[in-house]
Amino acid sequence: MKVLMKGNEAIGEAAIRAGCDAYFGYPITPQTEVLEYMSRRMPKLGRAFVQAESELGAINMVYGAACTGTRVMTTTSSPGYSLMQEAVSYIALSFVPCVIVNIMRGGPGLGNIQPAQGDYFQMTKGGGHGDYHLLVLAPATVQEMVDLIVEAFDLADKYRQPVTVIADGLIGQIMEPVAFPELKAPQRPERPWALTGAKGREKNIITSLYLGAERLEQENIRLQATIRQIEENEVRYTEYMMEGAELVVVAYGTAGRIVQTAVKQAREEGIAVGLFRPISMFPFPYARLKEIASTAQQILVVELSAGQMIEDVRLASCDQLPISFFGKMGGVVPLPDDVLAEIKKLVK
Amino acid sequence: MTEARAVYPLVLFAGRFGSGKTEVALNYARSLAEGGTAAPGMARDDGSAPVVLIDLDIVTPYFRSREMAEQLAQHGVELVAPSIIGQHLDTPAITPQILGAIEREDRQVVLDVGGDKQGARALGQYSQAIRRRGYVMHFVVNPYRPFTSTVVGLAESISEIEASSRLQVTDLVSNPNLIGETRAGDILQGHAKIETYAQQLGMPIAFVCLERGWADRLDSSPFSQPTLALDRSFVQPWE
Repeated sequence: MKVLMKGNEAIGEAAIRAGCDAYFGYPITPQTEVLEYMSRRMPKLGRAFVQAESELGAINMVYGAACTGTRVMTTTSSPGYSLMQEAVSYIALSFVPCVIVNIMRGGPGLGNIQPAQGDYFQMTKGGGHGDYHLLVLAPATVQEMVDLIVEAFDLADKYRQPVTVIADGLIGQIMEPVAFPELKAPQRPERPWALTGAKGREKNIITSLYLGAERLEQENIRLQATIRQIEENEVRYTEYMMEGAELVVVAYGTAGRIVQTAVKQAREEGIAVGLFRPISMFPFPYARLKEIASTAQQILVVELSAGQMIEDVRLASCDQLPISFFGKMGGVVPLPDDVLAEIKKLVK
Repeated sequence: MTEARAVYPLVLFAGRFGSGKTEVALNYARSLAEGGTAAPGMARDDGSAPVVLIDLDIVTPYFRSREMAEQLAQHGVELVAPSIIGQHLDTPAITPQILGAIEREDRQVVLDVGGDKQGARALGQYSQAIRRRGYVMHFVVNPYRPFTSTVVGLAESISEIEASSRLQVTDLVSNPNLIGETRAGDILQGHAKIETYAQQLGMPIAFVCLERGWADRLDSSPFSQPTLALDRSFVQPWE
């Protein structure tokens, strides 16, 4: 049966269904409803909910819980994600799984509470210090959010890495009908690396501190190997009306959804245009986009930012064809008509 | 319920987050302004007095009544909101105009309360003035939303909001929908569920809300209560 859920509430329920055993967070608009939802639901299920004293506290609690093999999640919004970066970098080199959600708002700085996609670089290129990339998934609907959150927990376990899910405030705040998978009991798969008490076995050590250069290089090589595996296995994207498209619009999340409406309108007017919507922002779908670039005549990138993903689009297409950009910043959300006007400018 | 006799009792819409309070309050205020005949559940059928909508939602960050000020003005509804500047602020300030509007007994005043007990708390400070004027507090219910999908959840929600607002819920407003994916069966089954809850709680149902498309198509006879046709104010950019 479908229920009507706000994006933020759906994040909470999806995590619960996936067997999330502990949630730590700190309120920040436009993702605070996740905390409100979890504060109601988690204690009733006998699971842990803590409103930390700050985002720093929340992410370090996530780190601690993840070390014990607990399925754990935190959620935040742009400025909060910046605050978390030190610990996120530690978690990456510590090889412990967790799920982190960023419901992006207008920036830089305190910015505002409106929807934006300005954190693309931070999310996909590292964010914290050191050599690492996290798996980044970007849903465009509340249902897709539910599905990706559930998957994120499994992927985090698979690679022993944090998995991030990004959306903008609009997806956090809208209400849509969704279906959820069955409720899973808190997941405790075999985790020989976890800190569960060393009685009767060698002790496990989880750390990101390696004072010897050779040893730290070894850990880096291991991390890079994990990232290569993620790049090989976890590319995700979707295509809409790409049949014979001369102009390909690339957009993700909310922007992708707005473009989809514009593409449909343009097709009705006989314009050969299609939508390519990356779902995994890291690993970016370079290979597929490269193929597309070899047959299309031009590309338009639409983002709720000054243009960040466009750099990956350029890399993928090796600048074989003209690439234009249409974006809005500061929480301004374009309408399908605005995108349609851009499309018409390019194809005339 | 009402301690004093006012010309127009204050009409409050409370409920849980996402129950549809704001859409219902907006549509209700508009239909009052359009002549009063379309506004169900009103004791008085008099569209002559000016209509004021107070947006007292200080907890929801998006999709708030105050974004609709211009549209409301076109329909002849005056909007009073927590803060004039910073429509998108997430810490709005409550202004003295709100108490002023509550006390204007010669106007038809509709009040959109914030969701949950947190939202209703902002109402508490006005409870004396509201009781003095006389009021009807509708509790908007969508059974497809979490926390009000069972009678226990609904009863809990009502008592939380009553405690926090220091006012009493008068009746339920039935708002069964899955927004764009609503089918006729969802409306009928959802409403039947609310009728059962209403009976268990000993609370009447003031009216049933239907998106205008459904209001035109559905035979209104399945409902023993009046209906309010809703025109959705908050439409997503891709729609």
